[in-house]
Amino acid sequence: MRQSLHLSTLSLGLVLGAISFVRAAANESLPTGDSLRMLNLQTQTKIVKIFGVGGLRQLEAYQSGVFVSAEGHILTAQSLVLDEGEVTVVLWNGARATGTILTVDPLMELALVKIDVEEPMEWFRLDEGVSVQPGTRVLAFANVFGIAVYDEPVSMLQGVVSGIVPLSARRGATGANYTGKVYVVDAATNNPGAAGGAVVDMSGNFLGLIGKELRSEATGAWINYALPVSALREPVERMIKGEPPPATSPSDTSADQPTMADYGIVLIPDVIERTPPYVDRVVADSPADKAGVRPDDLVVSIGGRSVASRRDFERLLAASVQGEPLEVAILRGKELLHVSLKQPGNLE
Amino acid sequence: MNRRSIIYASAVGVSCVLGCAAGAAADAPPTLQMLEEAAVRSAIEQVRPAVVRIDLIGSAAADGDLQASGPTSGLIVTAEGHVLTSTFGFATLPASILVTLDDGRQLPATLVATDHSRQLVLLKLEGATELPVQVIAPLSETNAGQWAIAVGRALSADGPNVSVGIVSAVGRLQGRALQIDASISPANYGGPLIDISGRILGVLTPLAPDSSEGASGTDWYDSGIGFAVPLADYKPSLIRLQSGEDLHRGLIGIAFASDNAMESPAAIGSVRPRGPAAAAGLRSGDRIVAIDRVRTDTQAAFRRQLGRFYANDSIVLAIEREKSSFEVNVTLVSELEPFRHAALGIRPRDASTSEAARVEVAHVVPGGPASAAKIEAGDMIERIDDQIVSTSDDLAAAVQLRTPGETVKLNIARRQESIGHSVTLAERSAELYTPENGTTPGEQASAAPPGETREFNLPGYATPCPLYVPSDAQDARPLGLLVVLQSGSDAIDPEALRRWQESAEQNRLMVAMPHPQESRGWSARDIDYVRELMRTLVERHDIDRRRVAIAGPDVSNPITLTFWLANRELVRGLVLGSAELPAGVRLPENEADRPCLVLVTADAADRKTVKLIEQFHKVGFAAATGGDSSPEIIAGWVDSLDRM
Repeated sequence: MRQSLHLSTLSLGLVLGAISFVRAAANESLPTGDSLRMLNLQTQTKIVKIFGVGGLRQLEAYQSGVFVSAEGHILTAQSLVLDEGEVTVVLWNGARATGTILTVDPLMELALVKIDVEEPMEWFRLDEGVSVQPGTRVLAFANVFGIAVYDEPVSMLQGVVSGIVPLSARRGATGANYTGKVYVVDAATNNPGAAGGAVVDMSGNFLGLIGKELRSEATGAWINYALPVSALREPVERMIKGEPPPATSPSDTSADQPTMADYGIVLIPDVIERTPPYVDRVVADSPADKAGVRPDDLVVSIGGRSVASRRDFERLLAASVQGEPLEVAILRGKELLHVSLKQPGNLE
Repeated sequence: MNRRSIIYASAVGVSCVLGCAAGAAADAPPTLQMLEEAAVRSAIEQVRPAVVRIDLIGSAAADGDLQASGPTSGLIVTAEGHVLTSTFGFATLPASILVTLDDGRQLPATLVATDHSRQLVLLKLEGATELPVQVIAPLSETNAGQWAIAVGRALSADGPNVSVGIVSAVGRLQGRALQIDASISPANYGGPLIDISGRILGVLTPLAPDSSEGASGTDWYDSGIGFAVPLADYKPSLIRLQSGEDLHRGLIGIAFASDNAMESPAAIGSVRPRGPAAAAGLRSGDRIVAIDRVRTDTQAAFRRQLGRFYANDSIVLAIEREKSSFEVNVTLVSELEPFRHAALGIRPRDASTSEAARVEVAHVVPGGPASAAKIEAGDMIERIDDQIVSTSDDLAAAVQLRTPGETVKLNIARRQESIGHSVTLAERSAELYTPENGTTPGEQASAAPPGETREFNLPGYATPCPLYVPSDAQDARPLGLLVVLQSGSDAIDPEALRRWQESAEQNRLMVAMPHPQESRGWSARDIDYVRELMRTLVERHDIDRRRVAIAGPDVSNPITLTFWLANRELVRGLVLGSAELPAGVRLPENEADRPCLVLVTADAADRKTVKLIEQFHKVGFAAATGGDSSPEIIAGWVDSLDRM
């Protein structure tokens, strides 16, 4: 039920007279409502609505973005909305500008958009230290479902940081490129238009950028998450300077990874969708044999990651680090054992 | 003003306002939000050691939309290593269960028992001692509106994942669950729900309204509606689970007389034969006023109170019967035999004579109970078990309360004589009906002039519906109604209706052949259209409500079945071309006041046909094969739906 519109949206209007605003700010005895209102006002000026031409393909052709410099640099998520190299950017006050896509970071799936400004803009600082833990209260600002039009403020959603976990997610058949840690939040941000929006703490500090819509690999559910500011800092600096991203790490090459057979393990045949990874046979003198693996052992984890089926086993094996022993946990009856398999082909 | 100067002007204005505000807000006292956040974080820290991660090896959490191999969460409930979790992921029995504790230790676990009613599973860790157990908040301190923090450990073994909301309601789902607005999903199913001081309120489960068993509520994940089973009063159930007893919902085997859930007190309409209520001697008309001395003033209150109990629980019911009141012990069960309708083996006809309304036996089903009791066509039924019968509705209502195998006494008037017959009721059958003796209504009607073919326009709907209305002969029986859904792709074809005319005339059936409202074919929205069509025709033409049936367009289209499922109070006969239930469809249980016979027109020798008929029979419906789907056979069968 991700596309539920009931959201606890606190869209406080921006239509506040300057006079009443200053009077409210001077009265410190009621911090709750006023500090939220102020925070909304401050944050809205740093958020933009982005409209692209993807509409021709009948995709949602809108998303959100955040100012990351006073000069009009806007950080957003890379997506089909940006495909034509130019987008329409609508500011908090309804002003429209044409944005040029300066550069993209294919690993983080980020894009930097630039609009021309004559005066400095309000922007999010990425170099402020923030402390985030599960339970930290957050506000998400994004144009979910494209509800905000013209000068309307984007929707403000409340929630907490649910967890800080590696992003293992999939979108259709292709996984996310970024696999570092993200903030999972319990505000419903995994919705059209939210990508490129901001997650801030209760003092308005920028915590992260809402990424594109993804399903969690662990739970199968759509996840609400933000790319953390700590992971954004470097790529954004680089993008503003116009430097190319560093070459991708060599771990991508999995062509000559050792296979199950190389380790000397034969699992029971893969007959059902979720065949448990029971060892059927162990090849004599193989790394598995030397480490003491026996038939009928049940493999429960590889390299600390749990293995729920034979297919998980194959997947994790293909992703294991080359040149290092393979740490395997096995269940033998009611006993949990940890063994270390030498990399096959290593000289002894 | 050009675009750039707009941006310029606005930016200046805002900077000024924000600048003033920021100055005023410096070194302010901690805000309410900050205090709440600190409390939430300390509550999470407190419960953290008791929240575990559970890896299920060789099992799939394939429920609805969610298909993942991921881990799930659990809550330590005893120091010796009992862990409660939800049924999520346990749909197929896992080959092995591995539990990761907060300190990083991994321990194998075994499944002890399952609470199917509340969708909880109890696990036992191997070789664990002195595990941290968290305090449970008393029920009196669990109220709507208070903070509710959902904690899981499925996203990462390193630490808990959380979602914060409030308690939306207590005593939900027949008194089994708390409702919360925090985001509940596979990330935290099985984990604890805690209050702002870190005490346990309950365990998060994928429960949903109207769900029977299995992890059925997963379609509602992250929707703002989540459920947790409260633990404050769960101790007795936990002890039963610890002893290895699987818990199922307790069923009593009654149906209420009224559809009004607020009816007070709740009067029993029918008692399921051989069920717990029948064993305790309860009967139709009894009023239930309390369970275990807790007053249940309405049907709704009764259901709420009963929902808390499990199979094998004994409860004390306070009953009012006529002028007396008493208490009975009832032991609940996990499964009831389905309700099956009883039959006399006749077809009735309302005969109005000058003196009084009478029920005539129009036809005797060959080999049926009435035939065995030497009842003949033309007999007048005066009484059943000494209760006067003046219309066929009276007779139908009386038979409906009986069960197959029961013997009833019929008083029959034949040629100025009145004789009592004992009839042992059989199960109502759906077999094709072959006339053997007596005057069948069909023969009588066949001499009448042909009826009228026309198009019927239901107000508010664009596509007209071809309709055949049999001629209105003198003293004719009321009409039945057969709705034959037309395949979506066909244009309206007058020939299609012509094929039905003769059989419709013979069997006194109005035949309506509606098309979907949109050319793409039948959709769920058309159900409303067909229902309205059916209702309108029934009312306008004074249709015999016992002879209303629906037939489908082609073998693969599930619309016929879907329509029946949504309109069981209207449909008395279901003609299916398809020999297989569509994926995901579960047949409902037969109910006394919604009788329906099923005719499957697919190949009778096909294994699928046999299986489909078995599936209907298993939930209490009589079903039969039609052999071929010719209008004569179907119309004759629909006409015979008034068999009783």
